Amino acid sequence: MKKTVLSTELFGKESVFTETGKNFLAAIIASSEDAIITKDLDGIITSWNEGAHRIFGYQAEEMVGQSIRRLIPEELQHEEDAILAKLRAGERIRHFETTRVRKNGERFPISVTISPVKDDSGVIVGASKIARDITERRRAEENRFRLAAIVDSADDAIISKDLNGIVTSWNKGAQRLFGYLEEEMIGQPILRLIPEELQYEEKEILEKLHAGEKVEHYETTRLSKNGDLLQVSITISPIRNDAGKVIGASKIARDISGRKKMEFLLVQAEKLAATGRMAAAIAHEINNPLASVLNLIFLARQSSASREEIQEYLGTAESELERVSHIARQTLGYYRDNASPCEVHLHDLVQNVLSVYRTRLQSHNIVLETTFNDLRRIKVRPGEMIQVLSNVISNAMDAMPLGGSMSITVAPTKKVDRDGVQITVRDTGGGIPREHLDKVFEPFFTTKGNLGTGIGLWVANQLVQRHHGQISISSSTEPGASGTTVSIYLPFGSFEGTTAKPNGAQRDN
Amino acid sequence: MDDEKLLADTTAAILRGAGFDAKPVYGGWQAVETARSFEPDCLLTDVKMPEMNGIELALVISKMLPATTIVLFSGQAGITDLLDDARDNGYEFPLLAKPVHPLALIERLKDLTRQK
Repeated sequence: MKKTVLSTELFGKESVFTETGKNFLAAIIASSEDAIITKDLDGIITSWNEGAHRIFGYQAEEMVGQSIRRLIPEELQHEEDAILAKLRAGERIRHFETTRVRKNGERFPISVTISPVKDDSGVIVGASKIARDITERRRAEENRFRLAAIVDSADDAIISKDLNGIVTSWNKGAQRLFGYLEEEMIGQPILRLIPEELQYEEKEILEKLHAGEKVEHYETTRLSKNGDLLQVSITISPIRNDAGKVIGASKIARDISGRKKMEFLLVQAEKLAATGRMAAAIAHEINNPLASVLNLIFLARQSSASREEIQEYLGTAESELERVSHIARQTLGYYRDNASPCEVHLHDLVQNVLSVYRTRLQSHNIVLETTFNDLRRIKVRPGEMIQVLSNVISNAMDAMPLGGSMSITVAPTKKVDRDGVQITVRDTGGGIPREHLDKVFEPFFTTKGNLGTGIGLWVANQLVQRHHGQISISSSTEPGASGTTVSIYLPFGSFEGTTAKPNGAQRDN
Repeated sequence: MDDEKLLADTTAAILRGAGFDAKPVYGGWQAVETARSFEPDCLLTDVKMPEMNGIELALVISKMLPATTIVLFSGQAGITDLLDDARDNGYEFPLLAKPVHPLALIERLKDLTRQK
């Protein structure tokens, strides 16, 4: 019954519509989400639908016959004058965005479309007004603008792409980092940024994204517009639609060229320092026999010396010189060709390092126990491995100033389906407290006070990673059972052109 | 005194040949024991040694036999810290770098003992 009343209000008794047609229209108006209101040319409301009730809070009974000005804030009353003027001139007002007031006094943004309504003779008699509450839209827009502003002001490159690797958005940070403008990259494949030899990475990344996985802090190399290679750390996360389906990815890239350069310099500095430590140890080993040789030759040249004595002096001098050349061969020789990988038995490298530290081990009352079981040679950079081993072994010695025992094992092992060799160095020192254990691979962390640089293990970790291996540490400070174990795993075939995934150091307790 | 027996023995032989009454010893405790009865004019000692380092030995001997001249003999550069420690304690010892030619050693020791 109400519908009929409404249709009468809306269309008048002498409408061109049939009764059924009027009912249809009335039903549409009643169920509309938008407010649909009619008014006469004085601004007096003549009809008020359910949408209007929901948006403004007034019932139809409260509003029909009232001025529409009730909905307009004080300072915007002039709008109604302008609207009525336009309507009288037969003009339509589309999507006019303004502010209105609800029954409870709340102001809210609204979009209104107002059309003149003519009678049968074409005379404008009133207006229909369709109003939409745009509070939500405004809020969403503001959010979007705020997010866009954040993305644009970020220093990092923030890029989105679809699942085919086509760029869909490109922020200012991306422009700064890679040199391409937004319009140059949108719609282009992301492969443009990836050096040819690393393009397989994109396939792996897309596979991960399809599986809904995230790629975090992946350090790699990218190509800028002018052809420069950039060291970047990238984090890639899947973008999902409302249904949870992965439809693309966001990618945040950070320039780490500066950090990489610093790390490189630190590695060089530690290499120098390690070489210096090694040189000091070697000097001691070499100067003693040299001093003896000088003495022996001096004694042999004395006129009082008998022929047998001379023979004995020179014979001893000879074997002392052999000792010197042995030490030189074992240690200095490897430092010379440290760039090119070659096949070695790892236990040979361990023994070279031990030959340098032999006197220190004895003087610290450290009992050494070695088990070498690595029959197969492995391709490594010997200079770098000697450095790793000398760091780990001298740490173990430093941990036992009052003596103890050190055990070193070298044995074949299998890890992540790859055969390799594992070197384990175990000491019976005081151990590393749990809170320090997490930090031992960080640069500048040291427990040795002024005597440590804090980059020995950090560099060891870098060098092991360069061999696609892993270094891990475990320790106990429990009295009577304290000690530290460092394990170094090196896979076979690291230098055969295979690309292993970079792996961080692992710590366990 | 040197834990490197060959070096201690040959040095002692050379010094005997040069007219010194030289006794080789191979460890810190042995050096202290020997010095007690031998009462040397001069102690020539290695620095980097097990048990007791050369500077510790030098300090013990200086207290026990203040008249004994002590000369350190080292093949390693990294002992300046140890020397600094000794200096802070009011002791300064001449240091000879290994290897040293026997004639230079003899000259140096003659100079040091002549000063008395």
